[in-house]
Amino acid sequence: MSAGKPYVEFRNVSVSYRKHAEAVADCNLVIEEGEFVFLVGKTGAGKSTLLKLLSREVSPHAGSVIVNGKEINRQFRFLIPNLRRRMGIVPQDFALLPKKTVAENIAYASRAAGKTKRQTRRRMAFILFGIHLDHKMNSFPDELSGGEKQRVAIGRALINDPPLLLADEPTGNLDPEHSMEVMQLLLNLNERGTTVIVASHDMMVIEKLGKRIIRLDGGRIVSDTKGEITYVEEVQIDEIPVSKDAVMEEAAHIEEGASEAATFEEEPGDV
Amino acid sequence: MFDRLTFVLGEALVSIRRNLGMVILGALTVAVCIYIAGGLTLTYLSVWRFGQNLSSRFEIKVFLKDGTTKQQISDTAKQIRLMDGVDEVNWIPRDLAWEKMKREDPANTVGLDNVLQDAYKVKIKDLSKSDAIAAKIQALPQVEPGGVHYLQVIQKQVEEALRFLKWVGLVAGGLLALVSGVLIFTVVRLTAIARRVEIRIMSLVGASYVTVYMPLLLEGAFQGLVGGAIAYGLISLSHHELANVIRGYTFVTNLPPLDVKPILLSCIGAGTGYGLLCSILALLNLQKKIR
Repeated sequence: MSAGKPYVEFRNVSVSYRKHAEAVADCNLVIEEGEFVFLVGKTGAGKSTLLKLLSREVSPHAGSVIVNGKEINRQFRFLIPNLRRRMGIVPQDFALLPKKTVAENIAYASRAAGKTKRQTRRRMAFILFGIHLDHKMNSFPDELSGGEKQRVAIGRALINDPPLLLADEPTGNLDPEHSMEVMQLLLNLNERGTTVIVASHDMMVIEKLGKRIIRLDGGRIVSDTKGEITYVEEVQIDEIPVSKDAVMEEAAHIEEGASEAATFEEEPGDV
Repeated sequence: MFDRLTFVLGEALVSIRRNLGMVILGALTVAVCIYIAGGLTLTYLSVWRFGQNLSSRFEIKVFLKDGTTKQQISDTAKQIRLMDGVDEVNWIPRDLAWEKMKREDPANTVGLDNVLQDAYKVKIKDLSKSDAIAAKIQALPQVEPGGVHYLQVIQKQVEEALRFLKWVGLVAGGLLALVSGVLIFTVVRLTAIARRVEIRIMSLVGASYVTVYMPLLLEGAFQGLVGGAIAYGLISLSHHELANVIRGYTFVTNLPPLDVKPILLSCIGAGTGYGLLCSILALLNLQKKIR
C-alpha cells in the first residue's frame, strides 16, 4: 500500500502517570495514511501509551495528538465515542464475552456501537468471511484457539469499518504459527487501505513482514526504520558518562544488551 | 430510535437478572424507607391539620378591666386585630353576657348586680402563635391582670406531638434513606464491575455514554420504582387496617380516606428519583476506572 498524507501525528507529546515517571517523553512521530507501523520495545517503553493516546484513554500532559488533521487531545470528552467509532481497537486480552458465540460477540459490539439489527446482520457475514471464521460463527470463545480468539477481536474492531486500526500486543498470547495468522489478517486489512499501528515485542514475526518499525525505550523513540525521526541521540549525549572507566562500563553494558536483543540490530536506522 | 431503546432496555434487564437478589434487597430497603418516612409524614400532616382545625375553633377569652370605656374597648380590639396570627376579635358586652348568664343559670344570679366584665373572644389562625398573642394581649393596658384565658395544655400537646414526629421522621427516615442509598449504590457498582468486559467492549467500539451507562442507571431507578410501589402498598394496607380499628370506636372521628393518586405518585417518584441519584453517584467515580 503506498503511503499518503499524514494520518497520525504526535507533536512533542509527553505523558507521565506519576511524578518523575514519564511514560512518553517529548515524542514526535508522523504516520501516513495507509501505513503499517510496528511500535516495539520492552515492557514500559511507552508502546501502549502511544496507542492509548490515540484512543483517548490517556491524555498528554504536553504536546498534541493529531488524527486525520484533528487535534484529538483537545476534543471534548463527550466526543470520545465519536472518535473511537473511527478507529478499531484490538486489545491484547481479546476481551470476548465467554457466554456469547463468535457471531454474538461481534453483533453485541456492533449493536453497542449504534448499528441497527439489520446493519449488524449485513456486516456480520462480511466480517466473519474477512477473519476466516465463518465456519465457527456459532462457537463459543472457549472452543477457539488463541489465534482464532484474536481474530474475533480483530473482527469486532472492524464493525465500524475504521480507517485506522490499533492493536496492542495482538500476538502477545499466541504461538508463532497463530501469530503469523493474526499478522496476515492485519496485513490484508492494510492492503485494503486501513492504517494499522501494532504495539508488539514479537520480533520473530515483525522481522518477517518488512514493515516500518518504531523502537521505543523509556518513553522515547530510539529508532525508526523509516529514518525520519531520531531524537534520542541528543538526549543520550547528556547521559553518557565522562570518565574513561565509566565509558568502558557503558560500552560493555550496551554490548550486553545488544546481544540480548540482537534482532533489533539488523534493522537499519537503529541507534 | 426504537432499535436503540430495545438494546438499552435489554442491557438493563440483563443487569437486573444478574443481580436479582441484590436488586430485591435494595428495592425492599427503599420500600421500608419510604414507608416509614412517608407514613411519618402522613401522620405529621394529620396532626398538623388537627392543630390547624383546632386553632380555627379555638378562642382566647380576654377580660377587660372594670370601667373600660367604649372608646377604649374599640381601640383595644383594633390593636388585637393587628396582631400577627389573629383571625377575628369579637366584643362581648358585659350587659349581654349577664343577661345570658341569668337566663342559663337563674338560681345563682337572682338578686345580684352584674358582676361580669366586658370581654373579647379572639380567634387565632395559627396555633403555634397563641402563646405570643396571649402575652401581647395581656400587656395591653385595658386588659385585666390574669384576664387572658386559653387552652394552653392542648396546644402544648399538639405542638409536642408535631415536634416529636418531625424528629422521628428526620432521624428514622434519614437513617433508612442512607441504608437504602448505600444498598443501591453497591448494587449498581457491583453490576458495573460484573459487566466490566461489556463496558470495556462498548467503550472500545465507541458506544455512546448513554448506551454504556443508561442500563445501569435504569437498574438503579428500577429498584427505586419497585421500592416506591411496595411502600405505597404498605401505606395503603396500614391505612386500611387503621381505619378498620378506628371504626370500632364511636367517639373517635373516622380516618379520612387515603388520597390514592398523589400518594402513589409521591412514593414512586421519590423511589425512582432516589434510585437514579444513587446510581449516578455510583457510576460517577467508576466511569473513570473502567472506560
